[in-house]
Amino acid sequence: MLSTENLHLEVPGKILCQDLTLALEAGQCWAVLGKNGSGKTTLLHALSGLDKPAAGRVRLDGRALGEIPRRQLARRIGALLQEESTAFSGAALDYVLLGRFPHGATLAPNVSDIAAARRALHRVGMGQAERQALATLSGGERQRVRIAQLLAQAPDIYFLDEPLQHLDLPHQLAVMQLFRRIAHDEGKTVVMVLHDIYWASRFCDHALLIHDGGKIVHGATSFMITQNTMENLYQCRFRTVTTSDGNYFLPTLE
Amino acid sequence: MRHRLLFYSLLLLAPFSLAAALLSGSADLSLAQLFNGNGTAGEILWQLRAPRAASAFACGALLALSGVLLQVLLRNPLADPYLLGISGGAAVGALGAMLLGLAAVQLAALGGALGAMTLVLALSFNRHAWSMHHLLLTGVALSAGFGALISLMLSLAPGSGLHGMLYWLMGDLSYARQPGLAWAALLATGSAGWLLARHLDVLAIGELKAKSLGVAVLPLQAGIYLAAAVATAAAVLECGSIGFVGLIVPHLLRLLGVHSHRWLVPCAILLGGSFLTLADTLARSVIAPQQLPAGVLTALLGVPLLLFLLSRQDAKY
Repeated sequence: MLSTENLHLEVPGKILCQDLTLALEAGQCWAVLGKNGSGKTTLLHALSGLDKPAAGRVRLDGRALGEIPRRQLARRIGALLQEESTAFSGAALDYVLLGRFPHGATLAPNVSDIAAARRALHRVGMGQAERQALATLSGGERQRVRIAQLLAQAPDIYFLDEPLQHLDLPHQLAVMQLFRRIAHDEGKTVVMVLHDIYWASRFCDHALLIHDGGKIVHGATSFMITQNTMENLYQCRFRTVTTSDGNYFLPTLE
Repeated sequence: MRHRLLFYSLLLLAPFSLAAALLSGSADLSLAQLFNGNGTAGEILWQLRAPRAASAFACGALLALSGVLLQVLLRNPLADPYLLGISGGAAVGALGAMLLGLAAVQLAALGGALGAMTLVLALSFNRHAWSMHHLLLTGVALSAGFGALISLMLSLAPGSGLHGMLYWLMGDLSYARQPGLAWAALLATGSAGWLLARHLDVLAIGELKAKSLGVAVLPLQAGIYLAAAVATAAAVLECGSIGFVGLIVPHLLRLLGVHSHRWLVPCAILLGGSFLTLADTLARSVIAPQQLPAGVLTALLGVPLLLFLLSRQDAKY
């Protein structure tokens, strides 16, 4: 569905991604792992068409992203961005409704837009808060409303930049389950930047690791997330704790 | 439903404010004279009060609209039509013409406004990128520069010309006689603002998010800047720098619960227009026959009103 050819990304003085060739298919759930500043967000922006890569190309069903009209692209690719300073002063439902922008309605959201927005709020457990002002919600609740906005956008490919930020553990679990369902049951593509290796190994079927110098490796999670690869990626020592729910990698103190 | 109610109330306020402007003034005119206006009464009505009221309404509406647009564009609640130096440029042009004794004050003001618009735009572009932060700072810096030039011209001006200059700066509608241009600008920018309401809503939550939702951000920003600049310039040319309307009206409406631009744009037009019309009516009748500059009244009325609403607002805003 989405593919890259020799993708090259850099910021002044630093190469973030070298010659990446990648293919994302429907039904896949990807984790993107890497240290702070390794280029996870930059990669996500390039893959979702928000930034032009320094070199190389990103194609959606064979068409270069730059050739697809923005609004049409927004019906195929959606992105949950890291929190920006949103000065949104309206209600939660109004915020979620903005996610319907790519879907036609020109002046005012129509009945089906409102139904989609309500459904999205319910899916993140925020249905009861639709009339509340976004600004009065807590950080975690706001994050769930932001996720609901993306669900209302209903793209085919979801790029999630740290979707678990501000969420408590039960809601982290709920969001991971939600997006795994979206990938596995609804046949969408989900790509998420995560910091928690456990969630990545338990819920994602593919992983992409960004090493220093923009060297990127990717593949099935079971091969990509092991004690060895994680120690190599984060450059710290890990201890593996095996449980019936999978492996935990805990950083050791020495 | 609350914003719908507010919209209809404002729709009623508009003709009320215009009627008040037509009926009050140093000469007492009744409703009957308004409708079969002939002779002196008709002259006062149709050649003095009507154009002035029409100008006041259009200018107030333009300034409020410009404030709404710039607050989205710059994502700064303090943005107002004068932040981008357009009125400063117009004032430098107008005062320069007055100082040199030229008759074409309006034309000079137009030149100043266009010059300032171009200058701000050119200086805020760097390396093919247009950052709103840069635009804001460029506008603020140029406004400060224009302010210094204005002070310089005021200090050089002969005593006889000073009064006219000060009134121009404070915003004055006594010479507003050609509302046509302001109304044309209002029609163009107001309908553009309303048609782009959903785009404005999306842009207001962040440039990058708007882009990912399918908004062509740069063309939209350029369009908003152009519309806001045209609205400001048209208002300033007609009535000088009337302060506070552009800042206060959008915030008043937000405090009253209007957030979506689909409602905010038309409500701001109606409230801004009515507000300035009423302020100007008061300005020329409070101590009639002497006239106060309308800009003083807008501030004197608007500031306490905004502060009052702000103080009784809960944390929602």
